[in-house]
Amino acid sequence: MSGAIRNRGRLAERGGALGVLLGWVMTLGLLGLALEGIFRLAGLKPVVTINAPDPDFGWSKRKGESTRKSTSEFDVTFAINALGLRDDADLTRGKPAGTRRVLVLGDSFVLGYTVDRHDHFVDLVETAFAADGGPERGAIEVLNGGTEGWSTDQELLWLRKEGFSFAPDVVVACFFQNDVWWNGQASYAGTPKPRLQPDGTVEPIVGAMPPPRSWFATRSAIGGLLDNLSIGMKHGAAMAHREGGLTMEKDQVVALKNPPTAVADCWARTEACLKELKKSCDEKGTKLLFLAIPTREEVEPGARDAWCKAVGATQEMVDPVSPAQKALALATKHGIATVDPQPALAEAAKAGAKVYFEKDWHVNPEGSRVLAKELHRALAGDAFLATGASAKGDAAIDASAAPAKSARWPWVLLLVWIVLGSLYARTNRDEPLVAAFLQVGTMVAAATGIVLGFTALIGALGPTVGRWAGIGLIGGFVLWLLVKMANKLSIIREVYFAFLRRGHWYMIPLLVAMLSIGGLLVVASSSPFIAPFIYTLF
Amino acid sequence: MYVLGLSFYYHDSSAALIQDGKVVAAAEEERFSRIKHDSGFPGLAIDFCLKRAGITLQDVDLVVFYEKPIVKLERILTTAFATFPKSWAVFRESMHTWLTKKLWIKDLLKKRLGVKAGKIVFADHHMSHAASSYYTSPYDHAAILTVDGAGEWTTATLGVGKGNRIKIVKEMRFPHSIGLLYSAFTAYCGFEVNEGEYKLMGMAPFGEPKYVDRIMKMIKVGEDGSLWHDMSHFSYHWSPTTTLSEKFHQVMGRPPRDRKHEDKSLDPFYCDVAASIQKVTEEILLKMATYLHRETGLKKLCIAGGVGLNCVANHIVLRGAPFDEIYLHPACGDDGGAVGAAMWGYHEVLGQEKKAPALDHAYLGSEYGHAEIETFLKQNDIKYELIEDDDKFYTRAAEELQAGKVGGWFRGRFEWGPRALGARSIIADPGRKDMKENVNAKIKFREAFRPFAPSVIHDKAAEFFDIEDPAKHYPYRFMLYVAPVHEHKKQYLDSITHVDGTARLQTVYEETNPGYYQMIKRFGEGSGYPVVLNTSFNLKGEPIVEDPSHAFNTFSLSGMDVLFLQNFIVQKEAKKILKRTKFALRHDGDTVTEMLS
Repeated sequence: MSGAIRNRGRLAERGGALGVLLGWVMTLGLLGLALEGIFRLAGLKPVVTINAPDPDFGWSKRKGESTRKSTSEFDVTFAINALGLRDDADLTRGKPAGTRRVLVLGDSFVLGYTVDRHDHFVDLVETAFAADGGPERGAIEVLNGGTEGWSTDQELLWLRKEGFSFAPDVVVACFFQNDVWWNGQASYAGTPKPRLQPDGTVEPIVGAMPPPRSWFATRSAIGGLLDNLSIGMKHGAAMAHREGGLTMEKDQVVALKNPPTAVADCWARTEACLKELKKSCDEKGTKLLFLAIPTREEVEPGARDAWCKAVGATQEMVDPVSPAQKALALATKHGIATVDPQPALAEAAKAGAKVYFEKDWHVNPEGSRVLAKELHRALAGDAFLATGASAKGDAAIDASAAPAKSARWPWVLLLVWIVLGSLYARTNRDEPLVAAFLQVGTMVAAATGIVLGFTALIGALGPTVGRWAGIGLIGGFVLWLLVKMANKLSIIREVYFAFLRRGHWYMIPLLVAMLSIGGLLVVASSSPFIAPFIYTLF
Repeated sequence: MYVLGLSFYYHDSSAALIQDGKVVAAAEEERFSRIKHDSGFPGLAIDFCLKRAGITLQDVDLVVFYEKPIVKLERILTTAFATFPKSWAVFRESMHTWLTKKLWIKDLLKKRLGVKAGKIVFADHHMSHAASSYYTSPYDHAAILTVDGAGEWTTATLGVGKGNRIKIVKEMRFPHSIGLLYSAFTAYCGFEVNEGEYKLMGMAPFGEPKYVDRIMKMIKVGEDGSLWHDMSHFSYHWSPTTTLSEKFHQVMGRPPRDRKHEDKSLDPFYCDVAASIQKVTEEILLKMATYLHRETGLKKLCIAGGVGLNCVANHIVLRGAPFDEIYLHPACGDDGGAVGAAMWGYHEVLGQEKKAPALDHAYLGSEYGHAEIETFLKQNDIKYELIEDDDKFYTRAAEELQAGKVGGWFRGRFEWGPRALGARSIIADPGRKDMKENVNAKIKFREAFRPFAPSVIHDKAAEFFDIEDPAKHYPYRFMLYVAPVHEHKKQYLDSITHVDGTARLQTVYEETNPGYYQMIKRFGEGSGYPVVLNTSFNLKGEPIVEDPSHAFNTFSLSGMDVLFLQNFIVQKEAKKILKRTKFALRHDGDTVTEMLS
């Protein structure tokens, strides 16, 4: 038979097995994408890390790795050079003639977890020395030896194995209070790490190294969440301290007046670290400077109260001598020169400056500048580089601030207004042009106001509550959509599965987009405010 | 057992109610809403059907929609996908309708009708067509041919009806379609798609089928009537504004006829084109019917689908195909899908036997009684004459026509389907030389070349027209066949005889429309020919009248001389404008693409 008449029985009401299978694959893929979007909207972003397991130090930075970390407070890209440092790409291991080097050791504060390099105190110190001038004094390089999550023991071991190969003239050991707790631990969230015995001998890593975090965990919110859940389930108890009405991270217990007994051992090991640092530097003829970075609670007025409230503690439960002060005393005890930036940071805070981020507990660019000035001043002293700090150095630190990024959102809103206004005017030609743009402008402003309002609300709730509030808000919105579309859901399901069954896997994305838009239109149509806009614009 | 059938969101929304397999009521929404080709939810038509049956929706056992939206959406998306990105615009436009309306039909039915989802089922579009014809036919075993533009995927089917079951054996699928091909040529000849197909059919006899060979360059036709389009000649599958490609114009040798010339000129070229596509259509249908007969060996055929309104082609099939009898449902198009869907639900879903008598008339709409009409006339202070005695009234009406008057005839339940069949008709003496021009110019305001149809009492039909045994040919009752006018009778039937010597006649039966039958009979007794000119009771762009106020208003706005409202007679002196209604077509013009989405 020629032509297009076909036997009815031959017409497949079902797609081939491959088509159906591909349809399911496509469905699961889209479901994953949707979840990923929801998680990201709720602030659950992929695990951002440039660390990889390391048999010597527990973990270390991947050479040549570059990662962007973006939150509501900062957007930072940190690139690791071929030598494994967050530093200049052309940095050489061998020290150029006539150059003096400062190697800064530390954890995420030194890595610069929350600031770009032009705002980072390690780089700012180098900038300050360069500004101080005097070619006769030669160039001074300040190297960033920080690694996220490291404690003093790991910094010491890295200094011995890697750090000294950069031939530093001065080593700056940066301390933060959590170092104390982790100096006492043989693993960090399931990852084994080395530590020092109180007598200064190295306790090697015990246990198998975990596999590196998968691409899925480091690049997707779902993967990151699952990975974190997995880690949390395995090691959550080891990370949290819940006792006597207190709920805090375990490494914060060092701030308590009466900490758990294990903290004494942590301090003993910390002291051993300091002694060994001193010893190693002395052996190499390298000068050592100890910098203790205070917590926000030690700096910003009211921060201590807020912290106490958050963890369920009273002011009396907090040791009036902070771990940073204790560490400084220990360093002094062992003949290590120290620098304490707390007074300068507190003074800046008292003057009204924000020196820490609100949600993140690291210093912000302003705080980083304070740290840079304090460190620069200490290093320029006769005990170290003897360059003599000049006002130019401080000025350079202040001047290095990146020009404030002009906000993009007003331009985006303007563009949205013009596009939607034009579409609306085109659809409703009988309306005056001005009225059309005014109406659309009102709608855009209202929508922006709602978004900003909710953002502010979530921001005011603090990081933890805010995150769950965000998830709740989005979940509530989805639930509201589902309720509004309750009667339509069976149709959507019917349409979707009909296409799936008939093997139209290639149309699944189109169908999902259509059904989503269709659903939103249905919901929008029930709102007398939105419906006219949606329909005319659509 | 009640089943409600619905057809909407396309041209001519409609509702039909069947009780124990018999059509109780059926009506297009446009009659009530007064919007020509109303495609909206047929709420008024549903109300009418329920009221007519004296039931509520709670008494309805099943609600059946006439097609399957999901499958249709599949076709639209697949077609858009295949022709992307050219199809972007048509995709965007059709999705607007789908996302806001068509996708949610089931939900709409649940909400508007207040019935549970389990009571709502969806019939296949062409199954609805097939069911509309087979289940209302007088046959228990018959071949079925459905042909239209496009349903979900299907554009034509061959099937068999036996007992209470229909089996679709073969089908032809989009984009290959006789209906679409005919609509494409409708657009090419300057008429509105979905509205002007019957004008093209009326234009065809003015030409010669000179361009069949050119048309055949764009399609292939199998011996079984199967059709294959070379889609490079068409753009309806991807363009929202055009139906034909440039290549089509090149093959035909001329650009499309300007739509502005719709009724002002008859260019011989386009008349020849009309004649050619009409001939191609007839040949395809004939081949399909012949093949169907060969495959099934059956003697009776049921035809349905929009192409079934091509009464010239139907007649060719009747004469040329080896079937003894053919049945067509009075509403062959998608409006008839409402009856078909209900019938399918009753027989196929509910498993009921086919036992109802054949549908031998189309009087399934609303009616108005003596009191209602009198109240209307009195309330509006309209001068009338009442002749209570039926015999005297029929005689008087016939006399009025014999006197050369053009009358509005409003009596009984209005017709189901697009044809006026003597319930809501404008009638006149067909023997007068000037009557066609008179009715066209003063009353219908329509294309001069289009013929009017005659109504003839069935027992005298063979005397005037070349038909045999009219009683067994149901389509004559519904004006779905043409028949040659006997040469020696043409002198009496000038106004209803087309240029090719045929007429699209309606046979009238006393059992189904006694008033109309008696009036025509008396007219014949006076004039010598029991035939009246019959055209639909409406103005151009207006739905056919439904109630007495519509009838009086249309009468007043037109050049009619007399109005027969049941037994009430209103003369033209009593005309008054109750409502200055401007009627317009629902739209300026469809494309085939719009027809498909």
